[in-house]
Amino acid sequence: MQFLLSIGNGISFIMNLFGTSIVVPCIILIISLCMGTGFKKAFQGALYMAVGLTMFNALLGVLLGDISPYVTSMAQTVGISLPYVDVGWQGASVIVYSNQLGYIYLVLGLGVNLLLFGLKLTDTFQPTDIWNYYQFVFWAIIVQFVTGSFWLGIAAAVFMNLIVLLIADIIAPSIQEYYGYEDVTLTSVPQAVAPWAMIMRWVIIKLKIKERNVDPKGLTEKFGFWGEPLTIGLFVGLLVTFLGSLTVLGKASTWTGILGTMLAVSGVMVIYPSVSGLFVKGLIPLSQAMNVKIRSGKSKRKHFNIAMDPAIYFGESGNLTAALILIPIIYFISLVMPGNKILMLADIPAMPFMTVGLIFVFRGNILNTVIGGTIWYSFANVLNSNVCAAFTKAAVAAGVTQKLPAVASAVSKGLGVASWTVGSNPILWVVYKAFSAPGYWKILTIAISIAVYLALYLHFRRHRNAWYKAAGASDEFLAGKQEKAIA
Amino acid sequence: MKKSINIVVACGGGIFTTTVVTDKIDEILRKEKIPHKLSPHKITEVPNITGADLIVCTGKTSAQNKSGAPVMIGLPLFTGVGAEQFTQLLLEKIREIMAED
Repeated sequence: MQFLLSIGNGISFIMNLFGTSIVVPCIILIISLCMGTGFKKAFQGALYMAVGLTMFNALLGVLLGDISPYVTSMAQTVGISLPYVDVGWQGASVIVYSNQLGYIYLVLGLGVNLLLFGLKLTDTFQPTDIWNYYQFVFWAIIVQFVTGSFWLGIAAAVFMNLIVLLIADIIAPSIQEYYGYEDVTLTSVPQAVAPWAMIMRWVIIKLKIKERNVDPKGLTEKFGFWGEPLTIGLFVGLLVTFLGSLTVLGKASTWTGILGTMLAVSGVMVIYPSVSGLFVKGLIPLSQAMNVKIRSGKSKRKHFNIAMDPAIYFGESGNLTAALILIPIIYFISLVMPGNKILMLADIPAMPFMTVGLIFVFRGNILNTVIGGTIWYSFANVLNSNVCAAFTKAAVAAGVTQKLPAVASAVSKGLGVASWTVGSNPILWVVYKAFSAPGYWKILTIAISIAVYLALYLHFRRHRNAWYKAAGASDEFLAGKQEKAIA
Repeated sequence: MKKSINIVVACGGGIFTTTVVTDKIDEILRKEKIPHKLSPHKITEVPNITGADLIVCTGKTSAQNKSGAPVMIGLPLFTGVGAEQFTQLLLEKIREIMAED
């Protein structure tokens, strides 16, 4: 551990000298080479990553620079105070990996995952999804910025990783059955809602509630508008600028401002995915190398799941329909929800990722998914609002404000950034609270969370099938899987 | 006879799996010396894409293209399971499309 710290200190010295957009890709390059990806692919990937980081900073400057005056005036004119602008999971991933804890955990987490999998303490091989580590490291970084302790942050990251793996183990058979993909599971953002769906499902079965469903045909077309970044950008841009300028609508200059900002917001929304596409290229060679390794040496293990990016679950028709219906519901609730401080924006088109964790538990039931999602995500928004200030600090630490005066001035006025998807995780929110309790209370709260985790973990290991079924898998599927494992 | 094939690759965010599968298809078509153009998209855009000869989605979907481009599920190229069979299918389909016009 001392060794890791001295590496960390050395890195942060170099980091201050060169800035994250150079250092982070270099670290990724070194890890990739150590894991045998080949120099050409790794170098190309790292280069794209550096370019992506640089462009991300530029885009964030455009977005916050243009929209923040309206966010402030919207609070004054109509009293809707949403000071934390949602910069999306793309923004969250960049901010997480640009923080010391974020890039150190890429190395540490890889080690932890290989060890746990090797010792058969988990059935899930997570290094294939290394890019999605940021979903829980985000919360560990919140712990770090709230408590001021790097080591508590590291401890929280490892513990949260264990929780993520436990959920991934439980839901794997259900995912495999629902999607018809062999040996896969989910360790990224959308898995966080699965335990909630399991509770709802349990209640539905216990109370013998008759389930209804809606027919997805035609609905996707009707709601398709909500899935397009361009139209969402125009719509949200118009709403915020209009509400922010209510008192000065008579002036012509107000309207040039409104139209200009609408276009700027839409532009950012449209270009955003390409920029994070560049960023992610740095981690693709590593993930692919791990994939080849695990597939070629495929062991004869009875329980064996490979973590996969959620993009492969996204386009299934039930999921897409449920998500497109949910977007306007959750968006409008977020505007009036007491306690919510997040202006949902960049993550709105990511809704179909967030419904993945519900739809397979509900075996494709769209109505249950919409109801479950509405309750859980509206509630999650309030908890997420609670950590935005700490997340904004993390963004500042990542160097965003140094380069961008627009962001720096927004932050100095009390505005900040949020990620709707990554922050919508009440389970890890509770863990963050446990790790950030005041003074010595921490010892108690951390001990309680570890005890609860261990109890659930041990119960799952003894009664696997009951848990698999609670997550939605059928008896026939589990029996078939068992036969195959024996043969 | 078409001179070049225009392929759209789509996934949830148009990012991670799309990039991996795009690179794989590029590699395959270079090896076969088939002139091609590849562009990344999101699955939500699939119905309204125009001018594509073939669409490869990385995950299960029932999305159809209104302009009539066939949709294939290219998950094997991402996971590596069944990648060889899929490559054969893909090449057959591409040759069929290129022979058409």
